[in-house]
Amino acid sequence: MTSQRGVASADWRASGTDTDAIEGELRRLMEAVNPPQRAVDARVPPRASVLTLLVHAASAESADRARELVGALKDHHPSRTVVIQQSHDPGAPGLDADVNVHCHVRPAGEGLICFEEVSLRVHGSTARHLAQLVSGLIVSDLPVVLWWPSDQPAHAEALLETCDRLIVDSAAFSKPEAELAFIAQNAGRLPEIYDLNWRRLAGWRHLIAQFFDPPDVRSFQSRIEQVEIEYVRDARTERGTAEPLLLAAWLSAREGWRLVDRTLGSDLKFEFAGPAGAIQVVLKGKTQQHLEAGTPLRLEIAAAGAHFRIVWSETVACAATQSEVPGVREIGHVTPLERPSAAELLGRAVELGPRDQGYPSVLRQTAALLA
Amino acid sequence: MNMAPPEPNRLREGDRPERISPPCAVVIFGATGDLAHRKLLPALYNLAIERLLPAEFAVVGFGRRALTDEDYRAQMKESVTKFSRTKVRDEVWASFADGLSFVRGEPSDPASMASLKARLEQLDQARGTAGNRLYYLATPPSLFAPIIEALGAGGLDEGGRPESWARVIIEKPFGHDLASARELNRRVRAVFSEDQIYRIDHYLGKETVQNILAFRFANRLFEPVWSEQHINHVQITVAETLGVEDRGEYYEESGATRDMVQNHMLQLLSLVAMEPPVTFEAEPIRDEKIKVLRAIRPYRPEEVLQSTVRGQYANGFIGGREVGAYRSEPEVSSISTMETFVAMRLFIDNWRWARTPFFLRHGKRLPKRVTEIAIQFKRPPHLAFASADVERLEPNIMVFRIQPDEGISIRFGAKVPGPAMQIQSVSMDFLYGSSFLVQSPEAYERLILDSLVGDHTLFNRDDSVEQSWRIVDAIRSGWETAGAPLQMYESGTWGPESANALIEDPDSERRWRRP
Repeated sequence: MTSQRGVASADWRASGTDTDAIEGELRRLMEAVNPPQRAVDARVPPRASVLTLLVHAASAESADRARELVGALKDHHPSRTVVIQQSHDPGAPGLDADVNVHCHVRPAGEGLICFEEVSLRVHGSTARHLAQLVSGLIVSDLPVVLWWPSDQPAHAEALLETCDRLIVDSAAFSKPEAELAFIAQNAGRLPEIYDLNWRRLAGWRHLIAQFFDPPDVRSFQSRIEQVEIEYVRDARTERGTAEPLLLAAWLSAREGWRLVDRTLGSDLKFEFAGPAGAIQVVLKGKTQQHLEAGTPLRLEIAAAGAHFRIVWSETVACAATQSEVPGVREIGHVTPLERPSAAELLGRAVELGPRDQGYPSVLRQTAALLA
Repeated sequence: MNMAPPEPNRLREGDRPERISPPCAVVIFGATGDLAHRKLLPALYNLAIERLLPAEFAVVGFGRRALTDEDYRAQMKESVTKFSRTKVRDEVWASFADGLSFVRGEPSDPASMASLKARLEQLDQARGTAGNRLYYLATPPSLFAPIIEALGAGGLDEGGRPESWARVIIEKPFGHDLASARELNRRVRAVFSEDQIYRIDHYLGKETVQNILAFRFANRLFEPVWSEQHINHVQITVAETLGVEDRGEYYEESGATRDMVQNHMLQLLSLVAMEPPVTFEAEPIRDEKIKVLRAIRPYRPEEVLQSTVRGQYANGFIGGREVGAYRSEPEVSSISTMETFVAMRLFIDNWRWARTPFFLRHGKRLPKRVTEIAIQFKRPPHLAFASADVERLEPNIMVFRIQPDEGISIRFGAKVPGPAMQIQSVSMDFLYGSSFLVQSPEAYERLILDSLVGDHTLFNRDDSVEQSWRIVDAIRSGWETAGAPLQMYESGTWGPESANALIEDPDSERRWRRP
């Protein structure tokens, strides 16, 4: 018995094809790699059992990148993925397809878990009929998740009605301010929006909230005077503002602060009016070549003489927190704070857990900060 | 003067409520024992790794040894390195260890308890543990009551501040029979109220055990067939390949029935057999479970021999190695008559389960380590197919695999592709490990966190413990009265032959599964 997990895979490719042919090939390939068994008490060959993931890519590069990330889902999310890439040539309508079925041995060593991937290259006017195109490839009775791997693609509205959840990554937007503002303005007519970037910040949000969990420190929450967030800024493109903006929007939305003024220069500065007076929030970009743009590095909160600090260390992927509350205590701890990979975030996004009730208000506040 | 409760933390709004420990000091009695090394400190460390413990947290080991705080930290680091499911990260460990300390003492010594109290008050000041106390009794059972009484006498039965709490986790076994369990309950309840007491059964912390409730009560599909009308029988198997190892002294006093049936197996049975709770909260769930235990038909003395089998392992082979008999284990009498195997047939006298037998089987030195619950359904009332076409068709079975490879499988009949109407059984599996990205926490992590957030759902209530003992006492007393024979079985087999006779019934297609 091998100690490595066995893998079976089969591919098919065609130009000028249609979805009936694609479905037929999927069935054929599935049987080829995972034939039904005839033994008594046989295991049924499992097929897509969790969801259909539609990847609507704005460019060939983002389609390639998406395919890499989707590959990481194979181990834990048996499903069907359809990657849609529109060619920008004005030529004849048509459809090219690559189909791959991948199966690997289950951890218990019996039977296979299978994963299907269909890549479509859509030509000419066929792009105007994306909804009809994919409807033949969606697995019935399962949720449909739509993912924009980068910016909003052309003909984006075509697939919005087919899906239960729209995954975006505001860190991947080339113009995050404009894209976030668009999503916020149209949130009412979009399906549930799942921003990988917002989820990327879950650890930071937890640590910030944790400062105010102890009842004897809670009252300082209403007396915040200053917040400073240091983050990695891309020196060439100025990208990276989406994460600190979301953090600032989250803090101000939860605390009920009203925007009074802002300065959007090399540092982003916001002035708010809160229950206890004025609050200044500063987002300071810092160039760090080897770190991903947007990575938060440090956060400090000053509140009526108390100070709360989080400093992130890339070397050990941990955050050191410190609370200094005069007359109460000074305490800190070190806690893991890995920067989740895009593959990890995507894996969680397709698990379709409960709706994030917190994101819509943060999105609205982000749009208000940038309006 | 009552202080108004603080406003909720607005930064937690909108987020799915996460189960995060409040500020607290955990005191471990038996701090240098096996359980602390292998399970408790690794579990607490992993809660810290998952960001479920606040900075305002401390762990105090209490024991007789002459250890400094540094000694204890070093010992525990070694244990966590060895037994944690995640790799130890030095920077996180250093931060966790800042809150780890040791108090030397004896519970029977008032000065020791005063030292413990002083340490806890100091931690409230220095680490903000807010007066909340969680006491974990990881000691031999004979020390449970004395420690509880010492906590009461030392003023440690309440939180350190007016708005804080004190809770106690008590390990199994909770008593060794009904009388001792009642006495222990009496002594514990003289100090702590029932809502402060957490009687642990670590099986209840396992993901698949919790999934039994999710499966039954989140799906409409199964409940209509979950009764004697459709179910042939239920069998619950807890099989171990290990022998008693170094627990011979304890096992000579307990045996298989007390060690496993009284707690884990009856709890599993009650989860399978209970009625839906009104809400998914601790008391409604525990109310439904106790109803099952009360409905288990007590054996008449003359029924015990026909309804139970007791056995003891002899020499044999497991995993290619020769293993010795129970009577050759350290600290076990060479003429011991303690059972290492038990099988029994039970009936639950209520509307849902009348006439449906429940078979329980547990043993040491069996061929495979597995815990599973199998529900075998009755055949269809009429099979319209030609007999040859359904020759290989087995009854429908649903299996909850608790360990290893946690998951659920369902066996059903399907047509074999081809011109003939041939039907055979196939199985459909759901495996935890391959369906969700998140690694399952260890049971102790879940249970400790539950006690920190004040959730009793997965802990045993006093009436449930006492009723379980009533059932087990009746069995053991019946064995004594009837002189129940001790059947020897070869290690590496599935127990005595007579266990097969207990279940086998050709008319009803009942036999023990080979998991």
